[in-house]
Amino acid sequence: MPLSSPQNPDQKAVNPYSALPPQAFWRSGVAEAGLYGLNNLWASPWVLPGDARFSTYGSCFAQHISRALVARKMNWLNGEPAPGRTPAKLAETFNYGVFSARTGNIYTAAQLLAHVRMAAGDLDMASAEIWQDGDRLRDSLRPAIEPQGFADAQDLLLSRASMVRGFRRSVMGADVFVFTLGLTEGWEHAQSGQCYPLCPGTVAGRFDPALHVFRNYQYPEIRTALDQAFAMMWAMNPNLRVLLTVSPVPLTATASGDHVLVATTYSKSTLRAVAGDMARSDPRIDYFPSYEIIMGAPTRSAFFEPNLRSVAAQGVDFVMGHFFRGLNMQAPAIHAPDLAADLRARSMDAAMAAEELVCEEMTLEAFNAA
Amino acid sequence: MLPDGLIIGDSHCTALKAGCDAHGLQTDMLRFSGNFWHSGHVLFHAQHGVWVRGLPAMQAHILAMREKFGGRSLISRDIPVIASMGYHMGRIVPPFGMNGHVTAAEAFAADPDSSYASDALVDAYVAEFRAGHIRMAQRMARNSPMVMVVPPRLFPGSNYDRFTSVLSRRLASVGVRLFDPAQTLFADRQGLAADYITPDGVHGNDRYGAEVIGQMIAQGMIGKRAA
Repeated sequence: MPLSSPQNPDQKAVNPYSALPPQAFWRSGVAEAGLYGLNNLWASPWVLPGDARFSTYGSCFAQHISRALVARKMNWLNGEPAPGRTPAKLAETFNYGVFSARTGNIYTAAQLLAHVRMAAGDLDMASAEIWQDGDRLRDSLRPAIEPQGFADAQDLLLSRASMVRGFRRSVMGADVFVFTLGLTEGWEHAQSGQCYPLCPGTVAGRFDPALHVFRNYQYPEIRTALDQAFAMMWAMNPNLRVLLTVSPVPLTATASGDHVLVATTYSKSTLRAVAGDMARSDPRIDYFPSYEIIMGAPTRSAFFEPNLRSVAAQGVDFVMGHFFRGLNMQAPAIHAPDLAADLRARSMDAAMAAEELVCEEMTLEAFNAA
Repeated sequence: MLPDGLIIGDSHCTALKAGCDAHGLQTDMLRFSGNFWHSGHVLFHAQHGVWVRGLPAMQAHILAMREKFGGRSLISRDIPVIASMGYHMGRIVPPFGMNGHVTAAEAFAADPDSSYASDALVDAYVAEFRAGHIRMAQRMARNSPMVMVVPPRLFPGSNYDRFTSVLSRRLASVGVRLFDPAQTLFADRQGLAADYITPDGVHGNDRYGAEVIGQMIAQGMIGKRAA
């Protein structure tokens, strides 16, 4: 439609932009605001309960979200915690507490769908490959989940089943499922269709060009996979809200044939478009702009480490600051405190203390007798 | 006169002592509660063999025993040691299971709320909380003819059973000679019969000790000192 010239100066003020807030304009919203003046980048459309439970999964950037939620003493749902009293360093070595279950990084929508299907009983969890690694075994779904791999197939499959249970718990018990989309690129098994988190032959496994197929998932495939995954998750938990974000961490390498910078832009742009469209089309889905905050012009790439890939701690803090400012958790708490767990822990401590007392008395008695 | 053996360890030593007595072996015993071991009070000592930190009565007991042994260290080549220590799992197995972790396939299948802990994780967990015991047992084994006797397996398939196996594997890997009655003497039985267990339900009784020591004598692990 052709633009018409205003007939008088007052009419110039009446247009769709005239009443927009400063953040709608690049000059006032970005250029003049500066990095630390960025405001209203995100506001959650949901009024969450004060004790809302968050599950977190996705690519490596997602673990920052888990940590930030824990650090703020928010209700981060851990569907697969480490055994009780596991020293923090040991738990970290075995990848407990990184995501809401020990899935390892979920980089692609296809991977997320596979996890959801396993949790829903729609995909046989035992069908995924097991990789030999010397005299140990690696889980092809999460090759680096155990520092030395698994002792045998039963050990691996039980651990995988435990992860699936944990994942299911984290879907069923969460109020918000935060998923960080990482990559469009991935590898699949040519016959079974199993998607891998890492190309076989990199961290573990053996690459076979006849069996392992490179995939650069396109918008429609990603959208379909996420639609399916979320539909299955809502079947498990109808009240679940999904918060999508896109990792700002560039690709380490691309197998697409493009320059890695170009491939990264394709990957992130596609994921960003999918996430944005999904958020716009379903009130149960929202998008949080991690990607924009780190990659946007105001940062001048300052939040990247010298490798121009890893996001520095200050960058993570900056992102999470916007995240927490945008959350609205004013609704009344809805979750009853887990008194049973508390009681179990206290009973156990009491039993151990009693046992200790009995043992010390036995020892002293023995010496008295001597 | 030197004894036929020295029994060192925690509450599981009582049955072993009774077994030695039943077989006419002259033994001395140095028994501390599992919690004393656990808290790091009991140490390997280059001069005394074993030492107890901060407990004068026990220190006096050790010094008296050295005197009796002709001034030898309690841990010496001349005195066979029957040890049972580190298997006092009451301080680590219940906390380990606090979040529903199990270590056996049957237990995992039986409880849909349970989580499975891998063999490597259990191994690392045991190593974390039993590092002192393992180090001490290794030093004792290097300095004496020592056999570590694994306590009775009272709960087959449980986390206790798994932790016991994992600790045994750790001890064996550092050169400790083990005797596990569950794998020899009681290998064909599903758990230990009630008439081998003390009323507290967690220790072998005198009869159990007698069978264990009898088997150790039969295998040449311990015996009467040559005149």
